[in-house]
Amino acid sequence: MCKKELEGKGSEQGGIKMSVMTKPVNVSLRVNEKKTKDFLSVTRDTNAMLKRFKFLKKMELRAGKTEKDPDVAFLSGKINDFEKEIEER
Amino acid sequence: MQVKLLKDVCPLISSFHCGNKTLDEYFQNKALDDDDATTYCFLEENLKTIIAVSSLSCNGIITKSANKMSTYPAVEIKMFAVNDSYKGKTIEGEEEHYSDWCFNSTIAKIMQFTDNYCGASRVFLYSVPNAKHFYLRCGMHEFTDLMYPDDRPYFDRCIPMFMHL
Repeated sequence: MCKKELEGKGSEQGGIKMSVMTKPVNVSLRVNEKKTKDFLSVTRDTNAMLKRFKFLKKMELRAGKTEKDPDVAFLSGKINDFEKEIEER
Repeated sequence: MQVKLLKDVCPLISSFHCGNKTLDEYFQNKALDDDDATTYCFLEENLKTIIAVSSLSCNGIITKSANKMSTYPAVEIKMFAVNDSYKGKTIEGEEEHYSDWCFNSTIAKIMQFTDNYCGASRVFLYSVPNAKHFYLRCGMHEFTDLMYPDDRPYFDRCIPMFMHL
């Protein structure tokens, strides 16, 4: 994702161009205490997800996979879940 | 398109170029030995060309309220890169771009994992500035305004983004 290249002293000595991440490695995102509600209010966009999963399934079928294929079956299951969720609103 | 683990198609990665030297170097030389991430390759049906690569890692999003800290389990898309020759290219007979297809397939892969093996409700990543609009189009939300203020200096030039699964 976001990295930048730095040529530090050590890298010059070693003759190797170092790549250093601009974010600390393996750091979690921390939410501003005052924005916790805003963060939690962001929920799944089920309609968009449904559209995307339908497209993925269409492409899997176009590639020759069948409904029995585990990847297609998973996508079908999620599509059903999303449709149900939209219906129940 | 076929999705394979990098370890199963590693000879192909040497010809993968995304236009960013750092990312190319990571995928070609480090990804295979990175114990903190699993790398998936999105391949053409002929299994000869890598369209895109993504590296996934377990992580979390931390909230604090009334002195109580909570961690919401999340999957971090540590790296995502599209082959230079597929950038901006649409799939034959479709309006969709290869890049969107690969990113959405990554989300589906994550959901297979979180539904069946280890739960998590969110996905996050750090975007380079010029990829922000691509990720917004793919349903990611900008996290910058929600971020713990002290963390801002750590994310110079990076845009943290997240999605609720």
